[in-house]
Amino acid sequence: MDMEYSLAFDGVMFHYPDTKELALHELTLSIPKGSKTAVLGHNGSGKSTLFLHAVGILRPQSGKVLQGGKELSYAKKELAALRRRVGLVFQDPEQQLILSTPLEDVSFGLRGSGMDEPAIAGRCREVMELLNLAELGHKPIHQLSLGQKKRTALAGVMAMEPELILLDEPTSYLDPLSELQMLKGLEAIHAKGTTVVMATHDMDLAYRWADWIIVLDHGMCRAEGTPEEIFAGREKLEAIGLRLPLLADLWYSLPASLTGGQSAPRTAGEFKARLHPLLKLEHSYL
Amino acid sequence: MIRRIDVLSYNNALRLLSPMWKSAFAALMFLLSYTVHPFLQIAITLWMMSWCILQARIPFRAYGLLFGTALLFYGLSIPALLVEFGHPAAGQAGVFQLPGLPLPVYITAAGLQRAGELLARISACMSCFFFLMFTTPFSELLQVLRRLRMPQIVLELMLIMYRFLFLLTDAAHGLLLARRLRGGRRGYKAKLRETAAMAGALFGNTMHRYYGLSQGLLARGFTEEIILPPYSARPVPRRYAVQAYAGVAVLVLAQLWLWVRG
Repeated sequence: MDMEYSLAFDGVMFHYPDTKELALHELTLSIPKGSKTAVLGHNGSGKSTLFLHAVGILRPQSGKVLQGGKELSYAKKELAALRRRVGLVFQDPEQQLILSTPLEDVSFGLRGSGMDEPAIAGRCREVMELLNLAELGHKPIHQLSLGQKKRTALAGVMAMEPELILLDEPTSYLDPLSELQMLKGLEAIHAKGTTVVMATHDMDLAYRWADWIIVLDHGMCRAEGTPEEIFAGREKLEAIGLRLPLLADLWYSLPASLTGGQSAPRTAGEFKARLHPLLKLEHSYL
Repeated sequence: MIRRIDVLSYNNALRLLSPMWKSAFAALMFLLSYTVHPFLQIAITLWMMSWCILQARIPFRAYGLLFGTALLFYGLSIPALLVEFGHPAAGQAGVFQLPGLPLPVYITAAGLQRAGELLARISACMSCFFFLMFTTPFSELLQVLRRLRMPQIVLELMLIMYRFLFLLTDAAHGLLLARRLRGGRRGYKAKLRETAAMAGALFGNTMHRYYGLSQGLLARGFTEEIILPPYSARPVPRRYAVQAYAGVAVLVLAQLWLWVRG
C-alpha cells in the first residue's frame, strides 16, 4: 500500500523511570494520513505511552518518532508548534480541562496561539455546536456529566484544527447517546481531512469505525492493516488477549459455503444485505 | 457546601449583572461596614442579606447555613471576649459572677458591649463577602482581579486551586463512599487508622491528578502562562443601580447624623 503517513514510529524504545519493563519495545508503526485509525491492545500494551510520545511529552530512549515525515524536535518552540499540529484527548477529561467553563476551556489553546477574540469566539461557537455543547458554554466544568466533559475536552482539541487528533479511549464509560455524539464529532473532524487515531478496547467499535487498525502488545506492534485484514484471523487476536468483533465472529461462525470465504461485513446493515441473497430468503425473514 | 455555593453563583438572579460593578459595590459596603456605627452595621447586614435572598434569590437555608457556620468561629471566641478572671476593677461591676470559686470569674458590661460590637461588624463584613460569593461565579471574579492587575501567577494559582478543590472533594467523596459500602471498621483505633489510610490515599490521588493535569497542560500547548478570557463589560440595570446608590447615600447620611449628634 503506497501511502503518506501522518505519524510514524521507528524502532522506539521506552521504559518509565520506576519500572524495568519496557513500555515501548522497538515499536515500529505508521499511521496513514487522513485515516481513521484504531489502536487496539490490552491494558498496559503501550497505547497511552505511544500517544504521549506523539505529542512530545515523552521522549524515546532510542529510535525516532516522525510526524508529517519529519523527525520530532524537542526544542521548546518546535514542541509548541507540534502540539498545535497534533492534538491529544486524554482518557480522563479532568486531566485536560483547565479553565472554569466549557467556553473558556475550548478557547484556551486558541488564546495561547495569539488568535484575536472575534475569531476565537467564531471558532468556539462552531466547534461547540458541532459537539452539541452550545448550551453548556457557561456551565462550570465540575457540574458537567462525564460525557459532556469528554466532549468538552475533544472540543478544546478540535478548536485548534490540528492535522492529527489522538484520542485515548474516547468512548469508555459513555452511555450510548454520549458515544453517538462523540462519534458524530469525530466523523465531522475526519471529514475536514484530519487524521483521527483512537485507542480503544472496544473491538466492535474499532471494526465498525476504523479504516486502519494497529494492534499493540507489550509495547510492540503485532499487526497493522485494514480491519478486514486484522480481523480475518481469530487465533492471532486471541493469542494477545483480544477477541473478534461480534459481527466478524458471527460471520466466521457461518459455514464457508454460505459466506463464500468473503471477509466479514462491518455493520449490521451490511451483514443483513450480504446474507440476504446468500440465504435467498424473503426480506421479512431476517 | 463549596459545591452548593458554586452552583448558586452560576444560577442566581444577579448572575448577569456586571461582575466589576458587583465587586465595587461589595467593596464599598465592606469599607462602610468597618467604619459605621454598629446600628448601621446591622442595617448593612440586613440590606446585603436582602440583596442575596430577595434579589439574587439565593435560598434562605443555604445562606443561613453558611452564615451560621461562619458565626461558629465567632462563637468560639466569645469566652475569650467575655470572661474575665480576678476581681473587677473599681467602678467596673461584674454583670455575672460565678460564686464560691477561689479565683472569681465574671462577665462585665464592657465585655458584652465589645462582643456585641464585634458581632455587628463581623456580620456586616461577612454579608458583603457573601453577596459577592453567592452572586458572582469564580471565573468572573478572576476576570475582575485580572482587570485590577493582580499578578498572573496569583491568578493561575487561584484557578488551579479552584479546579483541584472540586477534583479533591470528588476523590474524597469516592473514598468515603467506598469505605461506607465496605462497612467500615468499628472502634476508635480502627477508625483512626482508616482515616489516616484515607488521607494517604487522598494524597496519592492528588499527586496523580497533579501529574495528569501537568501532562494535560503540556499537551494543550501550555508554555508560560494561562491566558484568561478578557473581561467583558455588562451594563447595570437602572433598578439595581438606583437601589445601590440610594442605599449607600442613606447609610453615609445616617452615619454623618450620628457623628453630628455625638
